[in-house]
Amino acid sequence: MSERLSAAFRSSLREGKTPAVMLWLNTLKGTRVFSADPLPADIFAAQAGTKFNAAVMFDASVMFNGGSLFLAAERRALKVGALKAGTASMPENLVGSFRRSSRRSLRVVLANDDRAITKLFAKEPLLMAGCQVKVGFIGLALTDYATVLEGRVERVEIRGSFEAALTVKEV
Amino acid sequence: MAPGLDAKILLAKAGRYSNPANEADILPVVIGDHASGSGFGLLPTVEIDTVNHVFLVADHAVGSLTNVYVDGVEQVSGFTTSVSNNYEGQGSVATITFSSDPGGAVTARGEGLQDAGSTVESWADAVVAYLRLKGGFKDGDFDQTELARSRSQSAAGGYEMAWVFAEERTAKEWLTTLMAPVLGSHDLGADGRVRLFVHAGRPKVDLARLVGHVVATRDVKEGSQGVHLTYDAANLVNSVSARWGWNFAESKWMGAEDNWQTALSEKSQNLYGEVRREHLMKGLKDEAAARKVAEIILDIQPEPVGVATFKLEHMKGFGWSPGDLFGFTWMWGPDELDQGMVNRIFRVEAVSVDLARLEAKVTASETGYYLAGRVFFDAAVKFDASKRFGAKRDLTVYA
Repeated sequence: MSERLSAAFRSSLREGKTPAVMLWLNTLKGTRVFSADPLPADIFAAQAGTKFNAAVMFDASVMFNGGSLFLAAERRALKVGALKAGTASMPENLVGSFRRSSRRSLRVVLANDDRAITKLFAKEPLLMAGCQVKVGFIGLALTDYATVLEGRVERVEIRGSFEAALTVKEV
Repeated sequence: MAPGLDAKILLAKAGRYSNPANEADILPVVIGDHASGSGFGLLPTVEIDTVNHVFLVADHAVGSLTNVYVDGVEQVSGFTTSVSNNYEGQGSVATITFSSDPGGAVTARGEGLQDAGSTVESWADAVVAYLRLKGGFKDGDFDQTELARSRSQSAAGGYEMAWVFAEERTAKEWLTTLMAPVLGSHDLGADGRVRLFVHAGRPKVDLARLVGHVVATRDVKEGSQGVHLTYDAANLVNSVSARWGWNFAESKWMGAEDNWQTALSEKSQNLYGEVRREHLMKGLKDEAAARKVAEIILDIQPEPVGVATFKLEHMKGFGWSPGDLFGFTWMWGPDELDQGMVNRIFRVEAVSVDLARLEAKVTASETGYYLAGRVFFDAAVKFDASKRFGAKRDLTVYA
C-alpha cells in the first residue's frame, strides 16, 4: 500500500472500527463494484462521469463517461479472503522460496443465487479484467478508501448453485 | 499387453568397448534427418576407442554420415566414416575413425535410424521406432487404428522428428516427453495397447467417444450444488513464444519466435489483453511445422476454457477414461444464450473412482461444442430465415 492514508482513515483505524473492502472490476463494458459491506454514500456521485451539458461537445474528442461506464455497485460479496503473498509451500520449501517471487492475491466469494455472475461471465470478459481492491471503513467517503491491490482477475469459479468466486492477482 | 511403461529404458554404455574415453558415456540413438536443415543437425559423438581414434555417432546403423566437424570446423580428410560398423563384434553402429587424434570435440551430420531403406522421421513413426529399438516394444503393443491416424496427422502437420536419445528414462516419461512438442498425447486402451494421439489441427470432437450424458440435478452428488466450474487465466493463450530446432550437440535452440498470433488471437487480445505462453518443441526442426503447432494452441485457447469437477453417484463414470466425451447439463453454467449449460460437450480429463462409496470424481474440460439436434426436411421447418439450417441446439434432457 503505497498511497497516503487520509486523516479519516487513520482516525477510524485508531478507533478500532470494522474495515470495509471493495472490489473494483473494470471490464471492457465498464466498472462494477462488489462489496460485503455498506458502500460509501458518495460512490455514485463520485462516478457520475460526464454530464450532458454544454461543456462537452459531441465531436468524438471526448469519450462518453471517459470510456468507462460505471455499471453497478452491489453488496454482493459474501466473503473476502486474506491478501496472500509468499511461498505457499513454506515452511517445508525454504530453498524454493529464494527462487520464487510471489504476486499478492485475494479471493472474493460473490453471491450468485440469482445467476448474476453466471450471466455476467457469459457476456463480459471477466477473466483478465483489471481490478482494484480498496479498503476503508463503514461511513467513510470513497476518497478516504485506500487501494491495497491493483491487479487482474486470474480465476473465475462458479460453485454449485449459489456462489461464484473471483481470484485477483497483483500485476 | 505392452511392456512395462514404468520400466526405465536402458541404453548401452561406452564401457562395452576395449578402450573408451569414458566407460559411462551413453551410446546415443539417432532418429531423423540431421543432414539437412538450417544448422539443426549437429550430432554429438562418443569416443569408443582412444587408441584407434574411433568415435561412435549412433548405437545402430544409420542412413548416412554426410559431414564431420572438429570443434565446429568441417573436416575433409583424415577420417573414414561407416554407417554400419560391427565394431569389436558388438553389433552395427555408426562410426567415424580418424587417422590420428582429432584433438577436439567431434560432431557430425547425417541421417539416423532406417526402416526399409528410408529414414525414420515422421513423428508417430519415430516415437514407435525408439520404443521398439530400445524399449522392447513390438508392433502389436500399439493400437494400430490410432497409430495409422497419428501417422496421417504427422504427415499432414509436417511433424518430422530429429532427436538424439542419450538419456535413460521410463517408457512413460519418453512418451510424455516425445508427444509434448507436437501437442500429442498417449494412453493405454482397454486392451492394454498404447494409443498415440497426434493432431495436425484443433482436435475434433469425436462422437464415437461420447460415453454418456450428465444432468447435474440427477447424476451429480449434491445435484447442481455439487458442480464446481473454474475458468483460469492459465488456460487462456493468445500469443505463443515458440522454440524449435534443438541442437543436441551444442544444447541450444536454433529457431525462435516470440510472438506468434493468428486473426483469432488478435480478437482474444482485444478482450483479455495479451496472454503469452512459451511452447518448447524439442526435436521439431521445421519452422512451418512449429508454426502449425502454435496455431493449434492459439485455436484451442483464445477463449477461457472451463474445467468442471463433480462427483457422480450410482457407479456412473466408472468406465470413463481421459479423452472420453459426455454431454453436460447444468443450469447454473454460463451460456451465451442464457439458457444454462444444456448438452454442452465436455472432455474427461481425469476420473477417480471411490470404490467404498461407489462414486466417481470427474474432472472435465469444455470442448466448445454442443450436442445438436437434427432438423428434418418436413413442413415443420420453413426456409424463411426464421431458423438457422442445421444449427438447432439439442435441448433434450436425456434420461
